[in-house]
Amino acid sequence: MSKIKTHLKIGGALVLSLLVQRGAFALELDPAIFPEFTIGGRAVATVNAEAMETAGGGDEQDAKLDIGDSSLLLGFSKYLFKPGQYAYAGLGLRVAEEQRDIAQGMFLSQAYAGIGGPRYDLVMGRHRLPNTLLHFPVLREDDLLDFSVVANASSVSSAEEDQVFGNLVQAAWWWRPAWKFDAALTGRAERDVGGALGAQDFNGASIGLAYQLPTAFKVARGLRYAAVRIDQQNARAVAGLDNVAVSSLLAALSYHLNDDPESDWAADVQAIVRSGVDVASLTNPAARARAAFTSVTAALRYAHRPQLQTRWRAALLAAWQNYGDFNEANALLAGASYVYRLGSGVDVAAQYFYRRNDDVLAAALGYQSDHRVQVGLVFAFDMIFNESVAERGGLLDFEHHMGGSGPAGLGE
Amino acid sequence: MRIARLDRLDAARCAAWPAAPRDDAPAYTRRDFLRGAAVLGGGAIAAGLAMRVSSAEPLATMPVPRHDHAGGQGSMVFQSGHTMRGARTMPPGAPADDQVTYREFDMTFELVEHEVLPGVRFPVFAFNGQVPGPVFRVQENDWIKVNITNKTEEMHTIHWHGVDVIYTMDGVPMSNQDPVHPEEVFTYRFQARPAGTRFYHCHWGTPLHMMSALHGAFIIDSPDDPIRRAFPYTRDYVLMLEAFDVNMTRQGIDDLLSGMKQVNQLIARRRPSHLAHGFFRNYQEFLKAIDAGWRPPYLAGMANPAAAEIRPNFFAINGKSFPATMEHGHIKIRSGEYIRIRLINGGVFDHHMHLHGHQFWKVAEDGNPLPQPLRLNTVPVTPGKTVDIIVFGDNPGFWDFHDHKESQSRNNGVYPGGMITMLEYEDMGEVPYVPSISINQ
Repeated sequence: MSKIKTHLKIGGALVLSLLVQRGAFALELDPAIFPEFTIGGRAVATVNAEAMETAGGGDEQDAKLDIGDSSLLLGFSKYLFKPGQYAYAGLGLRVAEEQRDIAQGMFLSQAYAGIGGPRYDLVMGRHRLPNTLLHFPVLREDDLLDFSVVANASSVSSAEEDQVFGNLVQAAWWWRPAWKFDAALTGRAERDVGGALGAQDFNGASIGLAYQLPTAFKVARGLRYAAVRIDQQNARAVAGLDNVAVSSLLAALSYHLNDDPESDWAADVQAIVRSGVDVASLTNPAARARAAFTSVTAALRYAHRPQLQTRWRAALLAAWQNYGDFNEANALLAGASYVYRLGSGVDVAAQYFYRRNDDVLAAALGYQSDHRVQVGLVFAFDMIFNESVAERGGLLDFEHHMGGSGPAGLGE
Repeated sequence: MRIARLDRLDAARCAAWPAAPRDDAPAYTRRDFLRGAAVLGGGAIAAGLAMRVSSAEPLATMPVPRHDHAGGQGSMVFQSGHTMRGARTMPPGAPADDQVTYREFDMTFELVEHEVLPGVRFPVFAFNGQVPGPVFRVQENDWIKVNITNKTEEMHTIHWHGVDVIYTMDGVPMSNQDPVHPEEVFTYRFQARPAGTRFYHCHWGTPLHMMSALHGAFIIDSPDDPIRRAFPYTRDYVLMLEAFDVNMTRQGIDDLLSGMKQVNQLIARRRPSHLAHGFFRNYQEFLKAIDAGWRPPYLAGMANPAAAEIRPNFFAINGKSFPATMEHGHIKIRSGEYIRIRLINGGVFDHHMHLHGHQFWKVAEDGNPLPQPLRLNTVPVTPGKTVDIIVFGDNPGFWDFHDHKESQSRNNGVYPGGMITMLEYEDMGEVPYVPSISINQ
């Protein structure tokens, strides 16, 4: 193998010679190097109906077709020379949410490369930020964004381009298959009034500790997930706000309420606490992301799986947020989501959310309450070609410490 | 009636072979046996020693297997409130312990990580945790009792391929037995017949389970073996020919064990759903389930043809790919010696075994002696087949013995590798060229 490495270093001239000598079968052309290729994504199309009570007491109603959050992700994986180690890359495109405040129809959500092994992972690039611990059963990313994600204190935009995704270098280490420690340097988007994107510097850091025992590994009542995370932002000066450090603490639990795989009940809860800094108002998203803040988001989930085949899933959701420095300004959200499976990856989905802001938040956000109904279709797929790179999180690795990650089964 | 027919067949078969006085046949000594069995692994040695005892009773006096299976009872999986986890199952149809003398063996289904080649390990299901499973070596008409314990979370069976067993012992799930559940101990009882090279394999999820790697040799010896009379061989090798799709195996086992967590939970709750695992009392019930909206898993398979494809990337002899075949599968011979090589296809791909420098005799197919031996240097061994060949030591040297479907003489696409081994003369003295190892040509 070292011989192969040596030859690879020879570079372009050798590649050219290989191209000329197509019939030759030299050591440089390692036939095993052919990436695993994944193409996945989903199309989400819903009819949205919204009835809003404005801060002034008026009514606004709206109905529209929404394809926001539809996405396409390309993934590639291949093995490193060292057995048990692998590399991967991903490229994701996403249709922006319909309520975006950035003039982009589609944006590059992810572009990253990483390496990993049975017990570690290192990823760098534009990626989903480590600013939430749980993904709640909602139709779209922004449905609970205000409550369940540590907001970006360096951007005046509330769009998910800036709130959910960003630059990062993240390392993770599993010292037990179910226990993970991770640390990241983050580069959240810096966007000032006017919409222009600022510098791409690192402006934050994050460390987290998580216990995760997926249902696929054990069907029993009990704790499935528990995690804590500290998120630190060195927020940049935008919209007249100063450079300032903002720290947030996240904690989450996911608990399975029964041990029946055909009728699966689970409860999730996540809390975010931010000590915050002084800001003049809550009007600007960057200001809200700096203010003292507490939120709790919870879901009760049910999956109906007769004969172990999912037919429908339903969830009740509730969320609360509070800005302690603004006379306990708060908002409540309650809702329900329902997904009925028509076929593999093809669902009919419906969701209803009601949100009520108190007067302070209503004044800042421009509305007192909001009823929102979404009904539509979801087409999702995830196809893997040339499957060869094993999952670290696979049961064989998780439970038996075998056949996990490694070239074509070449586990350590 | 059955016994009489077997006798006639045996007589006709033997008549086609060169006559050889019984006394001329070399005794198969314990030392010879150990020497031959050494290539088969520890399990083979142990099993062979335990089983190599001639039957004292003539065939005609042996009890005829009774097919006294309780009529209409069918599978336990349709009976509500039951669990087969941890059960001890001894199906009917075989003579009681006081009617015959059984040779009894304990075996296990296990999940292990198998190293097919240095640096290449992958998970497999394996009998007794070894690949291939232990070699059975029994005498024709021995009564066999195998207690198999399922130490995995998946279901399995054992099919005794080419052995004329009682139908309740044939190991075809839902056809003549329930699959052996996790922690269950299932007992197979049957008479070892007819003589010849047979094998055994799991018949549950056969493409995956048999390939990776629930298969093993079942050799039934006979004191009246016409092949031994014609060719007084002194060593006897068993080569299990295997093809491993390590990616499919790893992914397949990972997926099914994840699913079995849920199935086994339903079983533990004594609420197994036969629809959850695709069991139906009859075809009408299957159609009814489809009408009621049950979606069979093959619909998902149709949507993902790439996942259904078996693309083996490591080919092996007795569990090892070249050059690791030097550990298991290396054949030795001396000048003037006859050796017998039993080739068993334990996978689902064709193999075309070619021996350099020799014209061997193909003497048996499917374990049954051929009317006339065929002089060959390449012999196909297709899935489900066993082929016996005799090699005579008349050309001293080191000789390749390999699958001439050369795409299968590779390791993950790199030649040479896979199904390559060597016939080595032990009595060459000083040799002009000593073999070395090349693994990337």
